[in-house]
Order: sequence, then structure tokens, then C-alpha cells
Amino acid sequence: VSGSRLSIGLFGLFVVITLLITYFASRMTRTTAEYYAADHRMSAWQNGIAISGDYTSAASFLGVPGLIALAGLDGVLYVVGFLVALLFVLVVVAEQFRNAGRYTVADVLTQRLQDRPVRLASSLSTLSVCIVYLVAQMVGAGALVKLLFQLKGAVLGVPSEVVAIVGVGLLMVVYVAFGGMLGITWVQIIKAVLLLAGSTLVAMVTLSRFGFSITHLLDAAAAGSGKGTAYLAPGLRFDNPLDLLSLGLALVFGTAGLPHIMVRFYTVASTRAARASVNWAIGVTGAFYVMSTFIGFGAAALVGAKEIVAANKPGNMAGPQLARALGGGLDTFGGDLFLAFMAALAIATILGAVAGLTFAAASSFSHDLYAAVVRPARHATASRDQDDEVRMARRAALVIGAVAVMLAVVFRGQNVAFLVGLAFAIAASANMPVLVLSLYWRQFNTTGAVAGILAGLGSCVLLVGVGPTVIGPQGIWFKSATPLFPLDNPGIISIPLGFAAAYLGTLWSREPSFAGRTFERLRLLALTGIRIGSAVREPR
Amino acid sequence: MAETLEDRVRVEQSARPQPGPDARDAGASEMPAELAELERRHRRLVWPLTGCYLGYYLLLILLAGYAPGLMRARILGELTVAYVFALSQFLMVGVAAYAYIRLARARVDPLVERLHERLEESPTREASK
Repeated sequence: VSGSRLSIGLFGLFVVITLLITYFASRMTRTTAEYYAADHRMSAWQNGIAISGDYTSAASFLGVPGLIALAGLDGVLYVVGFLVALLFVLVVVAEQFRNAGRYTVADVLTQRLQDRPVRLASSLSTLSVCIVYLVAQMVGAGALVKLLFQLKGAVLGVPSEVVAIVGVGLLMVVYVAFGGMLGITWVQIIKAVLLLAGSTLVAMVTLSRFGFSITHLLDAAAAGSGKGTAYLAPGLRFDNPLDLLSLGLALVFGTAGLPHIMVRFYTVASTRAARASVNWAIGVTGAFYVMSTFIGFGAAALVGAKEIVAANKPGNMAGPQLARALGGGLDTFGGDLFLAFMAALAIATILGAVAGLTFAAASSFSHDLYAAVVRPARHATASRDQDDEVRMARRAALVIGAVAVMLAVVFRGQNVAFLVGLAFAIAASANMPVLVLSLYWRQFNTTGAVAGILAGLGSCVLLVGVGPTVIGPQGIWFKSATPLFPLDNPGIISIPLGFAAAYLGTLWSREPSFAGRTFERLRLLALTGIRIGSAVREPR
Repeated sequence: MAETLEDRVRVEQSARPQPGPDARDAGASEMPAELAELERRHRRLVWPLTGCYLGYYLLLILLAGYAPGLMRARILGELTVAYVFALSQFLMVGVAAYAYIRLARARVDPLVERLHERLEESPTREASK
């Protein structure tokens, strides 16, 4: 009990500090550029660490050590996918994305495609990715609070899970509505630093128990996993090679389509800074994942698979359980202290990730849907338009938060791990192909973009909806039915489908091609940041 | 005015390789010829490098799925091929990121800087906005 008080105290400290940041950030946030992009004034290291903070959700902090503890190598394959995805962002899109866009993903696409249809479609997929991902995180937050703080009962007649979900929802809306991009960037930086420090501490203490020998640690992990030599080989988690490939593709290509990651590049002022910020992100995230891998091995070795599964079937408590064991075990002061620390970190992790997602969704709602589609007539003055748009973004944050809270309350208690996979799959199939084609393919046109987004989004939702994670014995509904689609992750079908629809849509539409000049201007802008000719809308 | 800029660019870089044919028709008068060269260097950096790191990752995924026998073989004491290959991916990510930065700095950035110098003091840009 004293342990759970302690972690509530630590978490409370995090909340107080982040609310203070939000307050100061809100006083420095007035214009649209300040709200959406922190006035493009973040430095490369700040943005890079914040990207890492956005990227490492609860799925990374809790899910990855659990997966590695229980499935060994297959868990490592998962982590490696997340990391290689950042390389794809670095090499193929980051710099050009910053140069060509302003506030949202659609800003890059509309440099050369028609404004309204593309913004409408892009906003639809952005909102889908963000809300699906948000619900996954918030259901996780509910389960986590229940597990970690042992709040089994109810607070004022409301189940503790619901209290946790509503609390997380309220905080994230406050961060996003008041702090804007500046506020949430600093929240992410603090979160990422705490996360890396905490993981490093636990990993190092673990390694010290094994004389800093990775092979000794691995041997003990194989023994503790109860799987013996199978722990050292692939196949414990992914028994279908196609499923593994499909997941791998969705992970590697998904990140370049995750709106909350990509809009971060607008916070820096130059091409070089965009490049450097991905490097910072790769460094911090890579270090964090290496530590998570050791934590996973350590949990298998020192806690044992039996106890990990007993606490939580997918193994989400492996990290906190290891921390408790290292601190001295159950009901010791050290054990409680370590556990409390990990619990507070876990909630802070979720809070950071959901704030980033809500922000990206709110930006897309106000900048793409409201400002460009709903309110296209420019009747007001420019400055009143700006105020209007920021006000709409703040309200959108509230609405999106409310929707996410309601969905999370409905889905609470379910195993919603598939939602993270779905979010990555939509990002990889609906957002990534269109983004890459709009930057690199001269003939690409509006019909192609809309077709690509809709086909990618639709096929993901459909294939996951009839797949084994939703229906059938492993799913959440119709347990007696057979899934109509055999794979957990739709990536291997939906990513090529997104590209194919974009390609065919472009060929079939016979749109009057103004690709030539516009494309050259886009290329100059994307590669150098120089705007010339009519592609210039408003100077940044 | 645009033509004089174009001429100046062309004269100054006549020693360099000729840009691709598409820069002519599409870019028309405003586009500096150097853009085509920048484009060529950029694509030659981005796609081969992407092929390398994606290939290395997909090879791991495919071998894990389709060649479990090979992956189970031990090479370093207790360590299996699978673990050595999987852990080497962390190293690969670092090497690929470093390679990208070095190559971009050496091959792409100088051209970008030259374009900035040329276009930001040129009359074309002021005239356009």
C-alpha cells in the first residue's frame, strides 16, 4: 500500500511539473505558427528527444520487455522493426517533409495536389490513426492503474479503471488545448529523459547481477522462461512467417505515416535541424530499446515466466516486476520504491504519448477539415482567421479527447493490443504511400492520392475487422467463428494496395496534368527549402 | 530577368555534368539547372541506402520465418545465429544513420547551399513574391 502511495506521489510530481510547463507555454502561444509548430523554434536535440518521447508509448515501455521476457527472439524482432522505421523516416521523408509542409501532413500533399479533396482524405486517415492509437493507449492506462495501484474497487461508485481513463483524458486535453506544440514538446522531453534514465538504471542493475555478461544473462533468461533452447530461436510468438513479415512491413513503413511523429519536424527551422533531430531520436530511442531488451531478458531470468504471466497474460508487468525484484522483492522498502518508480514512469509514458496523438488529431481537424474544407471562404481578415483556427484546434482537442475517453471506457478490460497494430497498419498503408509518391512521383495527381488513402485505410480496417484479433477464438467478438482473414496484421496486403490504388487512380483519372512546373517547384522546395513561383502561398 | 539568371547558372556550371532532359521542359525559365543535378545525387543516395537497410531487416524477418533451422544454429558459445543477427541490427541502424549523414553532407548539402546562395540573392525570388 505504501508503494502505491509513493507512485501516486511521484506521478503527482510529474503532473505538477508538466502543468507548470503547460501554463508557461500557453503564455507564449498565440499565433497559428506558435500553436501548431512552436514557432519553428525548437532545436534539433529538443525535437529529437521529443520525437523519441512521442514514439515510445506504453507498448514500448511495458509491452516490449514483456514480449521479450516471454518470447525471447521474437520480441527483439519487434523492437528492431520500430528502430529501422526511424531510419526510413530519416533517409526518405524527414527533411523534405519539414521543407514542404507547414503544420499538418496534408500541407505537404497539397503543395502540388488539389486542396480540398486531399485535405479531406488526409484528415480522415490522420484522425483514424490518432483515435485508434489513442484508444489503445487509454485502455492500457486503465488496465495499468488497476494493476499497479491495486485500486480494485471503485472511487465514489465509479470503477477505478474509468477514473484512470477519464483522468488521463482530462490531462491530455489540458496539455494540448493550452500548451500547444511548445507545451507538449517539453512534456515529451521530460518524459523521454525520465524513461531513458529509469530504463538504464533497471537494465544496469540487472546486468550487474550477471557480471555484465550478455551471454550469462541470456542463459539465465532461457532457463527462467521455461522454454529452454526454444527461447534462443525464432517462433515463440510468431508461428506464421507471413504474419511476422506483415507486421515487420507495417512497423517499418508505419512510422513515416504516423501524424504525431511527422508533425514534429515542423518545430525545427532548417533542413539540417530536421535531419539532426531524427539522429537524436534514433540515438535516444535506440538506447531505450537496448535497455528494454535487457529488461526483458532480466525479467525472464529473475522473475520467471510463470510469475510474469500470472500478473498479466501478455506480460505487460514484466518491467515493473523486475524492478521490484531488483529492489528487494515483494513487501520490502526497496522493492516498493523501485516498483513505484516504474509505475509512475509508465503512467507518464502513456500521458506523453496520448498528448502527442491528441495534438496531431486536433491540428488536422482545425487546419485541414475546418480551415480548408468547412470554412473555405476567406471573408475575415488574416489575423482573425488565425485566432479562429487556433480556437478551433483547442476545441477539437476537447472533442477528440471526449471521443477517445468514451471509446476507451467501452473497450476497457479488452485485450486491445491489436489497435496499436491497426494504427501502424493504417499509417503504413494510407499515409505513407501517398506521402512518398507526392514527394517523388512526377505524374502523381489528386485522384491518385484520394484513392490511395481510401484504399489503404479501408483495407486495413476491413482486414483487421475480419481477422483473428477481432473475431474467432483469439479475438474479442464471435469467439466461435473462424476469422475470414488469416493474419493478425494486414500490412502485407494493405500497403501494396495503398500504392496500387494511388497508381491506378492517377492513371485512370486523366486529370489535366500541371505536374511539370509544380513538381519542379515542389522538388526545389522539398530538397532545399527555397520557395519560388506560384507554389508560394504564404511565407513561413 | 529569369533568363539572365538561368544563363548565369549555366555558364558557371558548364564544367559540371549536364542535368537530365526533364529539367528543361518542366522547370522552364525559373528552375536552376543545378536542381536536376541535386535531384540525381539525392535519389542516388536515398534509394540504394534504403535498399540496404530495409534489405538487412527483411532478411532477418524472412530467415526467422522461413529458415528456423539456420537461425537456431549456435555460433558464439550459447548465442544462436538468430540473436547475433537480431542484435547486429542495432549496430546496423547506427552505421546506416551515420553513413547517411556523411554522404548527405558530402554529396547533397554543397549543392543545396549553392542553390541557396544563388536563389536567395537573385531577383527572381523577390519578383515572385
